[in-house]
Amino acid sequence: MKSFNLKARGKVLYAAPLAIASSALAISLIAPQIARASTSNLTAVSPEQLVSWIQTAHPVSLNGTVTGTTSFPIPSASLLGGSGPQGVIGGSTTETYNVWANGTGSFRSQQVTSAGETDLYVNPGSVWYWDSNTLTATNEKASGTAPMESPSVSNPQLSAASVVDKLSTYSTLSVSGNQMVAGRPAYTLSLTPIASDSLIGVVRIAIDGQTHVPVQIQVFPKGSDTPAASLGFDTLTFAPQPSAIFGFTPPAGATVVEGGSGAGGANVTSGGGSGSSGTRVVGTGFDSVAVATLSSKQLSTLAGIAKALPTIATPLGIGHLYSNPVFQAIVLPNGTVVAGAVDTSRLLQVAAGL
Amino acid sequence: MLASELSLLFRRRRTRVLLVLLFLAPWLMGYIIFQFGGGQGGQGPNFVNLVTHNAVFLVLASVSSLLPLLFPLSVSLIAADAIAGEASLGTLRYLLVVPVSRIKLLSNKLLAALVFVLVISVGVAVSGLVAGVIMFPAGRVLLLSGQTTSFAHGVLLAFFASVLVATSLVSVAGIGLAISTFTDVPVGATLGALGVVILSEILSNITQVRGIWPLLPTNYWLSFADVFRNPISYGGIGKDLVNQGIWLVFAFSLAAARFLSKDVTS
Amino acid sequence: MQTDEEVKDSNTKAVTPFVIETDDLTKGFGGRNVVEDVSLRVPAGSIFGFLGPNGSGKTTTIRMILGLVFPDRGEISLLGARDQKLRRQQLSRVGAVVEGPGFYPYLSGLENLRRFSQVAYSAQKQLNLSIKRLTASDLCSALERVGLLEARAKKFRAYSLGMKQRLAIAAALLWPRELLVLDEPTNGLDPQGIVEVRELLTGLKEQGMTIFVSSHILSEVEMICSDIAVMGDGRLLFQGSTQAFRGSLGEQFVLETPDAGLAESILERLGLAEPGSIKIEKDRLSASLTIEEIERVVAALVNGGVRVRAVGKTSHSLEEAFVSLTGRSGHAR
Repeated sequence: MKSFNLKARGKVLYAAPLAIASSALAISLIAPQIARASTSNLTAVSPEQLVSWIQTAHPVSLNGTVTGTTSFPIPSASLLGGSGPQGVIGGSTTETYNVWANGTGSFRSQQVTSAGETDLYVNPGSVWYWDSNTLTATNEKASGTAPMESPSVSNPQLSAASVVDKLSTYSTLSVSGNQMVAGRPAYTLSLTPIASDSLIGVVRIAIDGQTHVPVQIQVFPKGSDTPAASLGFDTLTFAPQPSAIFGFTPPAGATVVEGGSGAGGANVTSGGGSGSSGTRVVGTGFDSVAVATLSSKQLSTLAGIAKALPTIATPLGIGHLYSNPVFQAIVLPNGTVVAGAVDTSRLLQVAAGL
Repeated sequence: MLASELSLLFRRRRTRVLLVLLFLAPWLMGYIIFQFGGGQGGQGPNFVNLVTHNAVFLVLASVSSLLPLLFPLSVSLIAADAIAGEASLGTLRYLLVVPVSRIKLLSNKLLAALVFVLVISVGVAVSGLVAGVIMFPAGRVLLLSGQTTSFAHGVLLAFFASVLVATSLVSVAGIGLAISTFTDVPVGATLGALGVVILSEILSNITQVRGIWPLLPTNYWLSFADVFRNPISYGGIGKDLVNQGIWLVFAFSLAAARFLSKDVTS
Repeated sequence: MQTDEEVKDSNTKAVTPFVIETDDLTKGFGGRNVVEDVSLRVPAGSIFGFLGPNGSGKTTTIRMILGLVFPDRGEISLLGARDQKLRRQQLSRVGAVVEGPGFYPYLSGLENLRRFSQVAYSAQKQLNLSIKRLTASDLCSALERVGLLEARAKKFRAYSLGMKQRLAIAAALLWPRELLVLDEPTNGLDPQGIVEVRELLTGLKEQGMTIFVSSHILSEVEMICSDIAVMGDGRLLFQGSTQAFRGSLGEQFVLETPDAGLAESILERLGLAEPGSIKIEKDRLSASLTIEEIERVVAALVNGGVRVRAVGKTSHSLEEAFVSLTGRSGHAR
């Protein structure tokens, strides 16, 4: 028994740590792709049926995580057709929310941040926004915002309804290949803009195959397979949720703010609200262009940024153009901004009509 | 054997000084906050500005301020001493001819280091709770979610969190032990283990290597704070446990591979 | 795999008369062999002197025997056990002092012994060996044996070098042993201490213990060793009884004559001595010859007309043999 020579045995022993290290590395790099690779097999359904499911979706009990990503800075207002929270969804961001909902209209969204967490407690008759870092509880009920409107940023169900309401009549509807969302089979409703001057290629809404609840929205720029913006469930369980999750009373020692302005947007990464002195929307659907007249103060802030942008000839003189694959804005010489998910000629057309 | 390792570890003056310093940290922190009020903490949930609201948060503020550097340093110091320390004293060769089996010596060294990890994290929690109750109110405990719970439940949660901090340091103990088998210089092994922790903390801030973040031993270290959410979020905690477990098994198998085939020439 | 029964069996039976046997033991560090083809045979009941200059491979050989260093090649049998796992069991019957004392400086002498006795106890329990759990008084009497009872509560770091050596010997003798392996046990000891160690070793041998002692200083072990092995540059240069070691270089033939030059030419003509191996100082000639050669040579010298004043023979000293083997003085540098 030549058990003395441990040279060889030493090499064998190193096989264990080597195997552990390489499999851990392999699993962490490959596993996400495997998860994505699965497909579903649902019975065929018409686009109209999907639209009606989205529009008639009623609150269900669920728990899951929602991830919202954007590749470019997009003012959420213009993207969603001119309403909803006023704010800019920052460029190339990923936000993750834990969400809970019960069947009676209560909704809770929790965003875990490195400094603590922010929460949105939506109950019939009250909307509280909580920030653990500043110990601030903001009551949004008094702000006059429709209770169910503001949380849509973390609620694919509401966002989908809003998109379908505003855009379905300006779109060609189709049902595209079934996909998996949060590990569940889902239908996909595609809304392709009828207007040719839109920068948006297609908006896709995934609807859970079993419960018919919208679970994902993706916005693709024209000619691109990579979504410019996406909001959807990563994990999702349909089950009754304990009521303790939804209840909120401002704790002792917290600062209570009544009817905070734009607080709903704070659950989004708020890149500076547009809060312009006057904003109106020209056009409808994918064609809609926001026209904002900036106050002199806003203008001076913007002037520095605008200088760095390329110039463009407009009917009102030389302006500055901001452009990304799904959104463009022109700062006109008179301080007015025209912006939308449309091409330059449409913006200039609107500018000419001012 | 474990008893002998533990007595060797805790009888040593260096270990005791280290423990006293760590256990004093909450008192120092509490006193400063008591005098000057809470401020913004570093990374992680801002427990510092909650300390003046409730004693329980002194435990969490202490633990989260010790976690990035002083806890790993202490654990590196102890774990890295395991084999390299015995080698540098010349006691390693005598232990091996006693004849203790190498794997048994290695596993008892690891166990002793793990006990040390538990002692420092729970010890700091106890010390922080006592200091907190003396200096700050002990009423209902605010959770990060904005809801509140009873003081007793809050204390329970704080100890749960301190045990999770201990499990987060398991990887450091393992890495220290592994490096300890590659050198006869304890200081080198300590710096090596601490270097791995610091490298991990640096990499976790570089988005280009996002893909390997889940593998970094420090990646889920702040998950102990998830205990103070409602509902308790077990996602990060579970990932941390798996991560730490993998690191521990990896580090121990590496240590064993090295130590079982090592020529002891010290 | 062997059953426990078999394991116990081989523990109690000495298969060979040798307590340590190595075959072609070879070990290299950094591409250079520090031990090469060493085949040791240490007879039971001997005091075995393992000699050689510093750096000749003694310590590496001892570490391989004790399982601290793994050989590149070759086999080791310790107290009859060749298999590595069994060899670890045999180690419990071996006391060792390897390359100076190694203790915890922050523990006292007594605490140090307690630490090693605890580890030894649990290690041997794990091997299913019967072992006595040592009490404080056992430890104290171990300290007393080496004269450290008074200093038992003193921290190890405060011990003198001689006290440290003695503590190491006390630790090696905590339990009754069959074999004691001592690597340079007299390093750092004063002459009085060296004498004490020698007396201790002789006493232990009388109790039936085999003692394997290494040294680079020949004179320290010469008088107590029954057997000797000499290492040089990693190779075993000699191995055998002390008597045989002395005899290996033959007898020293000494001739006093005014005709030393003539005597030298006669010796060379007889082919008894290599040119240059004959030493001539004034009227005195000396050469290494065997007894038979000496018998022939006297007649040849007288016939050759050499005026012989005196003829004698002296044995080589160990020192001379050592120097001629290793090319180095056996004294401390």
